[in-house]
Amino acid sequence: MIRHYHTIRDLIAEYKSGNKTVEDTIIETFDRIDKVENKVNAFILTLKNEAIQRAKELDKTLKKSGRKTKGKLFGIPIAIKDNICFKNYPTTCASKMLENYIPPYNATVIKKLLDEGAIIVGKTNMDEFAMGTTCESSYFGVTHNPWALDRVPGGSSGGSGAALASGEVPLALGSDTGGSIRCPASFSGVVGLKATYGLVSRYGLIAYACSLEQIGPMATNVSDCKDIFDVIVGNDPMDSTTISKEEMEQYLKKSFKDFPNSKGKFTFGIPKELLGEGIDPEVKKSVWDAIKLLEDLGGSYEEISIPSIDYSIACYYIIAMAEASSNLARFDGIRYGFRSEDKGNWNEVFANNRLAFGKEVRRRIMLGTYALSAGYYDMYYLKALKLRTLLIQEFEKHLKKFSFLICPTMPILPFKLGEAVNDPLTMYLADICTVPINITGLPALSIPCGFSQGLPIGLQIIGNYYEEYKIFQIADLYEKNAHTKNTFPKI
Amino acid sequence: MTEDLTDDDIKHVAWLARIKLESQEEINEYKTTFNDILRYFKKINEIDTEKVRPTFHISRSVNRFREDEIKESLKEDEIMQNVPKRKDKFIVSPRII
Amino acid sequence: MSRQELEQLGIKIGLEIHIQLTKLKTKLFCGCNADYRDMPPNTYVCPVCLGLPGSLPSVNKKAVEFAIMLGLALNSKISNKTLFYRKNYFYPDMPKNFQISQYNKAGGVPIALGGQMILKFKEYDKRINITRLQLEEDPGRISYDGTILSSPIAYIDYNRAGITLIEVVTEPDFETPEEARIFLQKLRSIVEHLGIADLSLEGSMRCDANISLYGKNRVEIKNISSYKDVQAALNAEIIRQKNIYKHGGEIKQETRHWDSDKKRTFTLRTKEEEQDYRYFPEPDLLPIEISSEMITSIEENMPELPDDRINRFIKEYKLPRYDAEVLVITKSLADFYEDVVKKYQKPKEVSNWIMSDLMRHLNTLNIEINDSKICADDFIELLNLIDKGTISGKLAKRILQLMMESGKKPMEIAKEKGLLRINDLKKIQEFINKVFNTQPKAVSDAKKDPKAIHFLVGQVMKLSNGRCDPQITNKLIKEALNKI
Repeated sequence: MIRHYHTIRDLIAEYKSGNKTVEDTIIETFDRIDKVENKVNAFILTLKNEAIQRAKELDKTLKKSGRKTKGKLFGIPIAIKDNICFKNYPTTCASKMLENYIPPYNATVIKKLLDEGAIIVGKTNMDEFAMGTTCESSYFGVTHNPWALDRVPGGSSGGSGAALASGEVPLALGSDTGGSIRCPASFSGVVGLKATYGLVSRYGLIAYACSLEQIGPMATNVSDCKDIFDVIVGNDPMDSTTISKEEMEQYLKKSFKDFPNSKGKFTFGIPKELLGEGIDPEVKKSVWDAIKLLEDLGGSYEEISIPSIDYSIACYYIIAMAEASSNLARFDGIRYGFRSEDKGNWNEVFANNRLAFGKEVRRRIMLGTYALSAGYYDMYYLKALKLRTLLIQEFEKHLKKFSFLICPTMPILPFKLGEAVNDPLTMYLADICTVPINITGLPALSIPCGFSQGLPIGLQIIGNYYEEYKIFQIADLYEKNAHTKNTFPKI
Repeated sequence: MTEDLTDDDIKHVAWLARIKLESQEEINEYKTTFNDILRYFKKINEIDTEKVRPTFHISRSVNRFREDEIKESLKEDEIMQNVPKRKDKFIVSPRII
Repeated sequence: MSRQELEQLGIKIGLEIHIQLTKLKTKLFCGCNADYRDMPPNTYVCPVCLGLPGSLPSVNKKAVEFAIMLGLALNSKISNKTLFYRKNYFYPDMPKNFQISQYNKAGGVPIALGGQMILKFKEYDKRINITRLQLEEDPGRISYDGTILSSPIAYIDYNRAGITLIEVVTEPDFETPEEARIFLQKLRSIVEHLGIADLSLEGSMRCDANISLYGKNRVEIKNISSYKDVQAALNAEIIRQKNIYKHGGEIKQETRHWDSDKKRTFTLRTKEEEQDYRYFPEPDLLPIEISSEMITSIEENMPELPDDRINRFIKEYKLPRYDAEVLVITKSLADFYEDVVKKYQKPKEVSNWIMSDLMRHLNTLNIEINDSKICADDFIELLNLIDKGTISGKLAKRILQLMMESGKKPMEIAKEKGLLRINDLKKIQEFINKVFNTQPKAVSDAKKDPKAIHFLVGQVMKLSNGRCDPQITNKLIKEALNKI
């Protein structure tokens, strides 16, 4: 395990000073992977030879340049969720459907990471097509929570969360459609950010629900998380929904003069819907401890109400399933993906091929199809889009007043393996704190805030649109004072 | 309010979604789960949204365009490496009808 | 059937026309080369138009501008805000298994709404109302071993997938198949004058028609590939429906396909199911807002439209309206006309030549002027040769035909085939002598009756393949007769 540094910046400094080579880091990384992977199963694919090869090249360029590099992620191993296309390597979405699929192009975020010198060490496990809260629906087996191997690591980016928590890698990318970065960050005790919708290109992210999801950074501390975010953020001509360069200057890069104010004070709101009934008492306790700490650090809070949150799970799942039913229609086995024997005509073979989807994926496609179908569109889909408007309005009202909103990331402690698999609705309900953020498109970060029975608990910090840097600032302050940085389980 | 889904509803949706149903047991299972979930979804109709406009796009920007300039297409092997069935340069589908 | 007969059938026809914007360099949502014709299958494809997982569309700006131009030309109202929608239906030629389109029954607004076109006929003017214009992507192409019904597999080529289409939908305002044909012809002319597409390209303009008789059930006819076909397809369908009604039958609402070889419509016997397209706004594309400034700037740069060009032809070239309309309805012909008139300034004569002989040959060869072997300069040379008396007007017609068949220059053909006019007195005299020797009776007739001279002139012309100058011939025959 690469433990003798605090942040990736320290590691890059080591390279520059010549104390350590990139190859050393990669060898340590794979030693660790070899040691824990059979217990954790965080990866679908590891790329040892390729990583070592690239490390050697980076060492050479570093030497040639007189130990100078501008790469923000120079020589840093990173794990990529397996729904992000990495050219010429299998990208499976943890599905039998794409077991043998080789993307002929790189996702925009992959290009950006490689341009900054990152080394991709593997593709991480996930819920099939990112549809899940537990990382159990993967075709390639479940991922175990490194803090308690009989528990789930959270989902859907569970492999990324577990790879970080078990010390296999210092950085990872996940994707977050309804909490898929923040949930595993919370359950696995790491830091993860879902940025404002449109800040990170989705080009090359295999879509589950395009109006809700963002690729995002995951790390073991706030500073590292911010460093990957800096690399992947920004306009992409290949993704029309990304922020324009002008908007980027205008909104994201503005400074927060009033935060904290001259006396070091700031305010935050606590939505009572997310810290009342239905929240595990242990979780509640940890979050209240965190709130008290924030008070000590200059914050003052008010309890607020965002009534539409009560409808957000229904709203989220209707929109997500509807979009998924359309996004996943392309998997017919003609151009790529699983192809059964050609028994019958096109439609019949099509329907047959789709048995390569697991149960939950089929469920969501069917329900989404239903929600969009003639006679039900207004009642489900259109209604959900109207609720989306209400939720946005309610959140915006409070975010104008407060610097942040604070709540738990997950209302419960990590499920036991197998506990929620056969009860989709129970699993959906666990997303209550995370889905409003995807519905509204707001940014939110999950940061460890304590333990119960040895299981991590996550604090969710929600900011206003484009206020990621403010979130990082408070998260960093919290992390320093709560001493949650780089905590790892013993495995 | 609509009634619970029937076997026929499940079969219809499965066909619309091109998902093969393999057994009656499976239909029953879908029926139970879907009815539970839909009952929960219907909660949203409690809220009055008469005067609310739907949010069709979460991004508030408009008019994102690309110039009409040619970019390189994929190479043959890049396309074909994933194609389950091909004939010469064609991609092959099962018979249509 | 006559117009009166047709009127009694209470025909209502509406058209949905798909026009490929072939003047775009790239596809609607990706940078792949749009010039796919004659390319090997699956050459111009990329992650976007092949629908690879993770790819996202981005809108071709010029496609939007072209659509606005057509909307303005058809007097439509350009929408100030328009969205793309997903039309969810499955077919192997659709890479994503949904089509990005604009129409939505839930109330989506396409790029342009309304509009009209006035069709001019000898006896009446006809106003055709346009419902809407929308942008959408073309699917790929499927080919078969034999037919769709017999082929054990289907072969798919995605080169066409993602090509920009404008769909023009009309109200059911047509009352005869001819009106539909003229509409398509005029629409084509407008599109080509705008410079947004070359619709002579195979498959670049495709049409579906819906048709009902006596206000009864509507039948949709698919797969009509040209304006020439539309009249044939509609006629065939009218006769089919008429006969069924005549025998007391009913027409069911259905979709039929046009078979242009067998000249009939047929129904595909498949499990007919109600289509449920599950339209919803495309989340991957932002709304398009069209400002009045943008419209104005496009409007100011609009090229001359057919109706303006017709008026200009009337004014500038003093052509009768009929001539101007015939020329301008085919843009390439109007261009050819102007190319000729620029250097040969007898506009009415040029128009006569084009409208009679040239067009007849084009029709016989079933080609358009751009595909023919004749160029404006050669045509001008031909007209000059007539004026100079080098060839006769009559022979010029024959030479024109040979020019169109061979692509050779008129002088070259005239020499090769010995079609130059004979002005040489001696040579003409030789022909006259031959006729006088072989036709003594006609000579003596002509001696008595001067009117019979025409016969002798005709014989000389026949003998010389029409090459002898008729006036000289006439004169020399008279002189010869006087000498007898």
